[in-house]
Amino acid sequence: MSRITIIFLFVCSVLSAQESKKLIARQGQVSFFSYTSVENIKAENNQVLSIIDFNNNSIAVSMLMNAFVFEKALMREHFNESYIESDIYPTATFEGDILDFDPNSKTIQTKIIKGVFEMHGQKEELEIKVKVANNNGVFSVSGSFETLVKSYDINIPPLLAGNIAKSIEVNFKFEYEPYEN
Amino acid sequence: MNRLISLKRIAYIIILIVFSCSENHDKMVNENEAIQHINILDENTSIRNIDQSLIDEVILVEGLVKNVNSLNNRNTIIIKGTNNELVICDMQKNQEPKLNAIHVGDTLAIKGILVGTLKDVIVHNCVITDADE
Repeated sequence: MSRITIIFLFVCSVLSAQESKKLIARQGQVSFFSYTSVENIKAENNQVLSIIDFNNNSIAVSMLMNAFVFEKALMREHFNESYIESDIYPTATFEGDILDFDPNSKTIQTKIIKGVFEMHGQKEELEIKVKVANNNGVFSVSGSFETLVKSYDINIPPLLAGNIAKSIEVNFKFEYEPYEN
Repeated sequence: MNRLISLKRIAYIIILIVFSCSENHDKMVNENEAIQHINILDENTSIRNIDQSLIDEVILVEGLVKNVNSLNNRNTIIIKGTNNELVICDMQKNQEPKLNAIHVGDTLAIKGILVGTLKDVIVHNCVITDADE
């Protein structure tokens, strides 16, 4: 075997190993709750995209705002057309890092993810406590956080202000598989 | 008298609002509905570049079954095209009995409401249908 062939095979194996260090979740779940004395609003998005890169322990999340499913269609309409304006801002994204994360650990790790969440054109720095589980090589990330509606420049008419909580509870759960293009 | 009519009108509007809020008017997909047909088995077709004006409209996607799962308690079929494009189909609840007959590698046509595109195309309220429609 020539030296060039050996070098080529080595480069291919290194590139392949790096590629396999990426994980993807195509059907991540993000849900949010708004609790008020007037009404409770709950919505769920079950097709949230997330990619983890073990080369630098970074995590990226992207979701379509109009993929949120509500209990009532009218809530979905108000959410997309009046509040989130999903025709102008179709996606929300998060980009961050899993701090002090050990991909080789087989135990459930409680870690902090630090990054920037962008929704409705507004960026918000977040630090979120998450559980990272490695179940025989199948990674999952789950957690929850609270965020303030006023951080996202969402215009709520005074008449409806009592229907929507000032602080929204967000829950998320991602199950990852090896990344493939 | 005029005041009474106005009160009746207001009551009627309130009843209408309350009634409309209590019903879920999410668009349901009818198997016989005429729609845009996208065959992702055709290598010249790219569903990732789908016309954005079709968002919230019913489309028919034809491709190969890559995966059938019930992650997050949602029945989902993932369809793959020849250009490695994936379509994530969130199935209507009434499609559950049909899912056992679906296998990886089958050619399948699915109708659903186009939600949009991230890395993959997302379609909601999907029903299994006949590609020849």
